[in-house]
Amino acid sequence: MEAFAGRGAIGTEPTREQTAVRLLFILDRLGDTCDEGGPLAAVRVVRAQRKLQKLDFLMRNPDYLADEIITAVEQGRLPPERLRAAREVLEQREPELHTYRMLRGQHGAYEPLHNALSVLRHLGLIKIERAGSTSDTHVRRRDYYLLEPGQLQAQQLRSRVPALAWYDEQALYVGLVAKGLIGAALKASQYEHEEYAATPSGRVIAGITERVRPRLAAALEREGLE
Amino acid sequence: MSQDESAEGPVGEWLAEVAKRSRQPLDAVRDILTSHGVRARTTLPRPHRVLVTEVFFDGLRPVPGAETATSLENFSFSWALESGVWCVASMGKNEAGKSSILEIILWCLRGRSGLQADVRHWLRRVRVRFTLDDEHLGVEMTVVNGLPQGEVVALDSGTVLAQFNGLKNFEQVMDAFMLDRLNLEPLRTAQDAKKGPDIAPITGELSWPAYASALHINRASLKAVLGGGSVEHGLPTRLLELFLGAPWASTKVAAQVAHKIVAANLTAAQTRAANDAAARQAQLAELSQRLISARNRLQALPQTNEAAATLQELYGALTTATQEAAQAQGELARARGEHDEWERQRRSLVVAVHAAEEAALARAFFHSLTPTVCPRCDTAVRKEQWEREKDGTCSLCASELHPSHEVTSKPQPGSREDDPDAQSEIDDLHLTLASAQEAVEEIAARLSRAQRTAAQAAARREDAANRLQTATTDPAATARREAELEVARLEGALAERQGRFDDLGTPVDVAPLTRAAAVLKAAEASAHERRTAALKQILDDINRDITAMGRDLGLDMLERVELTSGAQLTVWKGGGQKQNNQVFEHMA
Repeated sequence: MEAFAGRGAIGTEPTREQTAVRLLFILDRLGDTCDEGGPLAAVRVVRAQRKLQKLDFLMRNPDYLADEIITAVEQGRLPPERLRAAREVLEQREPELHTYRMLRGQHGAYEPLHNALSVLRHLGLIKIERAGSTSDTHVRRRDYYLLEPGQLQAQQLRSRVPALAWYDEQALYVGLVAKGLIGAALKASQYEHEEYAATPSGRVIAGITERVRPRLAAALEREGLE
Repeated sequence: MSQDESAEGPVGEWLAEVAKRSRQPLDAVRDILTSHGVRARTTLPRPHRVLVTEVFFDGLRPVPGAETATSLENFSFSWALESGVWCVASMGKNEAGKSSILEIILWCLRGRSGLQADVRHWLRRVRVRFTLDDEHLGVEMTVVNGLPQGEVVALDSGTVLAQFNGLKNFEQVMDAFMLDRLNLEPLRTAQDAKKGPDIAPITGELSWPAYASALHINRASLKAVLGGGSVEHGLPTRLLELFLGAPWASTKVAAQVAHKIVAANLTAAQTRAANDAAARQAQLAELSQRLISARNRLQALPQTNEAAATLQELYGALTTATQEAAQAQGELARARGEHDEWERQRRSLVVAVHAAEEAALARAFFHSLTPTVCPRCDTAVRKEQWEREKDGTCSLCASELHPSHEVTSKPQPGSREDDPDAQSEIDDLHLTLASAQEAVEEIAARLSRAQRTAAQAAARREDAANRLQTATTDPAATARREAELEVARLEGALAERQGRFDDLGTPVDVAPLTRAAAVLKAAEASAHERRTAALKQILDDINRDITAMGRDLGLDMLERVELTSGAQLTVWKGGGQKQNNQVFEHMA
């Protein structure tokens, strides 16, 4: 048994390419349509790194995602049937195999994405542009554009590598609660979790599965859902 | 009185004779006699002399022949006596008070009144003076309603020697006073109880009034010469012995009384022992009978599977089964803990394998694509730059490329065959996972066995508990067990009593009483013989004196008299034999 010591079920850091896969699907599925402006061949955009980080947090933490869905149902932003989606996220979609906890940064969940983004950028799948006044050094925003080749490769990925297509599907679940929200709103909702808010900077943000499970059961029973 | 307790002389002879008769050692004889207060009294008491010198009394009495009882008259009588023989007589009328004069004298001397009650109620003042040896004494009293109140006075000094108030008190005062003055002891007596030989005899002490009965003879006491009219307690004999002066008499009486007491105790002890033995036998018989009945009841009961004898085994089985069940539970808990830990590890490995495969697939996917721009500045990668990668150099920074990054053979998306290191790590992980899986299966089998064992042990324990429950609650088994317990209890009780009573097989130890009875009986007999021998000589002299005195008083026909040591007087007169009372009536 000692031979396996140190291999935790959850918490192994994802590789650069794994993160690149998630980011590709986040941009493809959760990015806003790029109707006007933006670089040539841009099809979708996520404005601001903060939003990208928060969306990634939900992708990597199914328990938080399920909790967000329950909250959205209770607040009326989602119909009660969506509680089934919460159950799928929390219990049925092998969350233990796809959970990668994040570190707590100064402004919430944060993990450097440069290297993963470089993979996508190097291959010409995305483009990153600075937004706002260049003279304004305090408020500097980056916008993340999915280019047409990126969209094509995302499609390739979901059709040819089923093992990785999981993240594509998960992005759709994240979309239930995050579509249209700006990064600040996402951050605010995540801060409502004590586990999230109370984690010191630089430490892993602990999971909430044990708390969400009874909450989900109660919500399902309340709504009369099987 | 004096006594001689020395071992020499007559006393020593007497003790030796008692020892011989009773077949007891001399020391034992001494101890027994001492403990029962039997002492050899071989010498005679000194004679005392009582002489009445004056009698006076007065009072009020009804007028003789008066019609009403209220007619009273004073009366008074005074008489000073001197030495000599005196006679009180009346002229022409009877009931003049002769007897009353004598009774008043006796009342004052002995304390007990023999007066007629009405005469006593007439009295107001009474005085009797007398000399006791050389001492001049007087009894003076006033009488109110027949009750005396007064004192005994030493006439020479005028000292009040004793005071009294009331009939009973007067008797007690005179008893103590006279016994002390005459140096007499109360007369010890014993009489067989009427209820049986094992009842202690009635013992008692006759005091001064009994002695004083020898002071006078009246018509009423003629039946027995001595003893105040009573022949009980052997009193006449004792008085005869006392006043005639018989040595050994008190010794004999003391031995006799003690012997009667001891004999009664002995009989009682023997009776008790016999009764105890009978009761014991009865108890044993009853227990035996009950045991037989209980055994019969047990015999009649149907046999059950769980007899009381096996109850202990059932308790033992339950204890063993409980211990085994606990042990199995412990083993189960250990197996489960181990299993869970292995399973946790296995799950970790599954996650690790998944992550590694996912990483490899992602890496392979992106590696299959062609770089187009610099990730830092978005500058397009030129063809010449791209060509460098065929030589194993990075198209952007000219660093040496890892073999997996070589573009000689582009892998297909979804394949990870291009990364040997990653594949090797994944293979290792798979091997480890397989080992873990095997370990989990092994421990799962152990867990399964432990579960079965625990379930079986629990079942056995429940079975043992049920059997015990059945054994303890089944009516038939309960009845049988109770019957068995009853038999065991009775057997124990019987054994215990037989064992306990074995020690008491012989009756209670009556040996000391037997020895004492033998010694006292021998002492009584020996003293009696000595007393009778001494008394015979005295009585012979007395008989001659009585005969001479009778002839002097005009009984010419009197041939001879015989006063026995039992105070019986037989008279021979003119060839015939007459009862003593008739003779003495004449003499009186």
